[in-house]
Amino acid sequence: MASVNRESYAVAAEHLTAATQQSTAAQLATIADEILSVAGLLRGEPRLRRALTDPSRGGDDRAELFRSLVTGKLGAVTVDALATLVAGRFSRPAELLDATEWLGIDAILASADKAGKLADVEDELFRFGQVVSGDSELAVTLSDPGAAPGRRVKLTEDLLNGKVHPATLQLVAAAIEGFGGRSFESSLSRLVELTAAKRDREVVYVTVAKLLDDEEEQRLAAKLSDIYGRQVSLKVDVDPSIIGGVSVRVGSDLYDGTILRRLNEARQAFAK
Amino acid sequence: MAELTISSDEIRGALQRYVSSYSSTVSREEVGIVSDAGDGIAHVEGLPSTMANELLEFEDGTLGVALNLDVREIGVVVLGDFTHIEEGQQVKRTERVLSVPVGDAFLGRVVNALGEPIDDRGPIESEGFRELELQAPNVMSRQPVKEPLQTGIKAIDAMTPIGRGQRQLIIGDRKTGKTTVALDTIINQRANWQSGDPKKQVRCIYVAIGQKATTIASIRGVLEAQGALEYTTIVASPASDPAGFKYIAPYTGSSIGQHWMYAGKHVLIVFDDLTKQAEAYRAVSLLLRRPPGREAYPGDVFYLHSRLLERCAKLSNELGAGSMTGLPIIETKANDISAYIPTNVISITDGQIFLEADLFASGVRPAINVGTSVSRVGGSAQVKAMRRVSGRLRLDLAQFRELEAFSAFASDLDKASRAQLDKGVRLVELLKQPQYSPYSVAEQTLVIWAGTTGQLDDIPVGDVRRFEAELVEWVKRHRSETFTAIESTGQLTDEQVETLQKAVDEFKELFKQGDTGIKLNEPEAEAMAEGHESRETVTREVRHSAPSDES
Repeated sequence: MASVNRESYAVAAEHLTAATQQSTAAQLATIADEILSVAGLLRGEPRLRRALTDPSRGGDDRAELFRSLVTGKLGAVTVDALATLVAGRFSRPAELLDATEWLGIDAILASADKAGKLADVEDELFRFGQVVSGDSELAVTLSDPGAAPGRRVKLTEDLLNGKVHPATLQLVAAAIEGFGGRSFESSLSRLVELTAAKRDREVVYVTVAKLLDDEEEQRLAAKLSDIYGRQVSLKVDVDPSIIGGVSVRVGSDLYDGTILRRLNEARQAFAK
Repeated sequence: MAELTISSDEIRGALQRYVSSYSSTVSREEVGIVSDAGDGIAHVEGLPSTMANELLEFEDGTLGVALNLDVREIGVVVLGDFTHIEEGQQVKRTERVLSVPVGDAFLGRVVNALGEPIDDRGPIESEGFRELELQAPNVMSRQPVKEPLQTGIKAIDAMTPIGRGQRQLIIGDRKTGKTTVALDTIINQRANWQSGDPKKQVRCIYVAIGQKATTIASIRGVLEAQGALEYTTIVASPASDPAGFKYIAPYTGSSIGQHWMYAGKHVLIVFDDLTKQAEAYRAVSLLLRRPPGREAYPGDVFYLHSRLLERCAKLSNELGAGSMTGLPIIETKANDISAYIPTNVISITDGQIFLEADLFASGVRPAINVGTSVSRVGGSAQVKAMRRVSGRLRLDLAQFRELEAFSAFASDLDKASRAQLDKGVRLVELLKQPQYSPYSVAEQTLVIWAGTTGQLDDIPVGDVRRFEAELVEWVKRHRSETFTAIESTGQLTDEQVETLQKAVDEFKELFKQGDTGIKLNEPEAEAMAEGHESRETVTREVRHSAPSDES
C-alpha cells in the first residue's frame, strides 16, 4: 500500500479499535462480517468504488454518500468505522477495496484474540491449507473462478462446521473471495502469516521426511528465533519425497538441507 | 604416437576424488513463488532483494530476466522453454545481472542470445562475463570518427562512406539486398584480417534476429565459403525463439563487441534486423501489461534502440582507440521510411543507406537510392584518394535521376541536358556491382575516377561494365606500380592522375567497342543463283552463362 492509502487505513483501524474496546468476541465477529459484506459490495460495484474515492469531492461528501447507502442496514459501529475509511484519501479505487478487506480481517483476528483462540485459528487455517493442497479436486473446486463464491463458501462450511473456530471459517470465506485479488491458496497462506503477525510471530514452514519430536522442534524454533529476533510459529509438513534432512522457509528465505536437493546438485554436477 | 593407456583403477580413483570433493553446505537463499505463467511471461511473488534485469532460475533450471519490479510481484521474461513453468513453483535468485560470456574464442562461432554455442563445435572458453546493460561511453571517452571502414561496395564507399565507430542504417523493403550489403562489408574485411595488423583488423559480429534458421545457416555458409567466418561471430535468435531471446540478442552481440572495443580493437556489428527486435519487445511489453503507445509499441521503444546503438563508438586514445561500427538494418513496408520505427532509428544513426525495390528490379544492384542515402560523418571518414575523385558523384547522380524523370515526357532536350543524361546513365551502369565481389581501394578509385572525369563518355552504355572490368585488369597488369601506390598510401597525386589518363587513352585503342552481347558463329552468306530455291530455318541460339548478378 502506498503511504497515502496506509494513512487513511490507519485512521479507520484506530477508530475501529477504540470503538470496539468494550465489545465481546461475538460482537466483533458480527462487525467483521458486516465489513466483509461491504467489501463484497465494493468488489461487485466499480462505479460505487470510484464514487467513494473521487478525489474531486471532499471526504465528508463521500462519507455522507456512504452513510446514505448503508445506514439502517449495518450496525452503527461498522458504519462509523467505514465512513472514516471512506473519508480518507485513496490513490486508486481498488485501494479502498483492499483497505476494507484488511479492516474486516483485522476485526476477525481481533475477535479471535479476544476469545484467546488466535493460535488455534492460525493452526486450523494452516491445516486446512494442507488438506486442500493434498486433494487436487478440492483445490480445483475452491479456486474455480467460474463457480459463484457463495457456493464455494457453503462447501467449506459443510466441511469445517463444528470442527473449527468460527473465526477460521470467516477467514476461509475471505480467502475464497480472494484476499487482495490473490488466488485461494496464496490468500490462505497470507492469512496464516497475518494471524501469526497478530500474535507477533513469524511463520516458519518446515518440511521433513518424518515427524520431528518435541525436543527437536523446540531446538529448531529457538535457533530460528535467535536469527530473526522474534518468536516463530513452526508449521511442520511431512513429505517423504525429500528422503531426509530438513527444509525451512521463512518468508522469502529458504534453508534447504534436504537430501533431495543434494542429490539434485550432484546430478547437475555430473551433467556438466 | 605413444599409445594412451589409463587403467580402470586410475579412472575409478579420479572419479572417487571428484565425488568426494563435492561438498554441500546449507545456506540462506531467497525464493519466490510463481503466481502465474503463460506466453513466456511469469509473475513471481516474493524475492524481495531481486535486482532489475537479474537472472532468476525456475525449478526446471530455465532462466528468466526480472523486467518489472512491482509492489507485490516481479514480471519475469522466461528465456527458454516456458511450457514447464507452473503456478506454485519455486524460483531462486542467481544474483547475476543479465550477462554473457565474451572473448576471442567466440570468433568463428554461432551462439544464441545467452552466448551459448549452438554450432555443435564444443564449449567456448570465455575470457569473462560482460553485463548486457552497461552505459555507453560518455562524451569524454570518445573521439571523432575519421578512419574509413571500407565496405568494398563502390557506390557506398564513394557516396556514403562509413567510418570506424559510425552507425550507418541500412533500410529498405524486403528483398532489396539489405543483408547482402552487410555481408559484403564483412567479407571485405578479409584482407585486413589476413594482414595481421591489429590497427587494420576488424572483428565482425552478425546478429540475426527473428530470421529463418535456413537463412542463418546459408549466411554462415556464405561467410565460411568466402573465408570470412574466422573473424566473425554469429549471434542467432531465429524466428522460433521466444520473444525474450529476440529482445536481448542485439545486446548480447553488442556486449561481445564492446569487450573487444574496450581492448582497443576494431569491431563491426550488424543487427539484422531491428524491426523484428522492436516487434519482440512489443510482445514482451504487452504481455507484461506495460501501457501500449503508438502502433502498440511501449513508450520506451526509442530508448530500446538508442541505448543499443549509442554503444557503438570510437573510443579516445586514452581508452585504447578501439571502435565499434554499427550497421543496423530496418525493414520498411512499401518504401515508407517515415513509419514509426524507421524514423526512430534514422534519427539515432549517423546516416542511412536506402535500398529501393524499383531500382533493384530494374537491375541497379546494389539498389541504393542516391537522393535519400546520406552519411552524416561524410568525407572525413573517406580514403583521401576516393574523396578526391568522388566529389561531385552524388550530386551528379541525384540530378540525373531528376532529369531522367523529366526527360520521359520531353522528346527534345538541349545539348547540356543530353550530356548530363548520357553521363548519368554511364555512372549508374558503372556503380553496378555483383554480390560477394568487393573492390579494393585502388580499384574503386580508378573506376570512380574514370566515371567522374568523363572517360566513359565515348563508350556505348552496353559496353560500360565490360570496359570497366577490362580497364581494371589492364591497369593492374601494365601500370602496377601506380596501382599499388594508390592501394598502399590511399592518396592520388597529380602525377598519378596523369599516368591514369595516359593509361586510359592507351587502353581505349585496344578496347573493342560493341563487342558485348551474343555473338553468332555463322559463315558469311552468299547470294543465291537465279532460279535457285531453298528453305529458311530458324534455330534457337542458347545463350552462354553471363556473369550473374542476382542476389
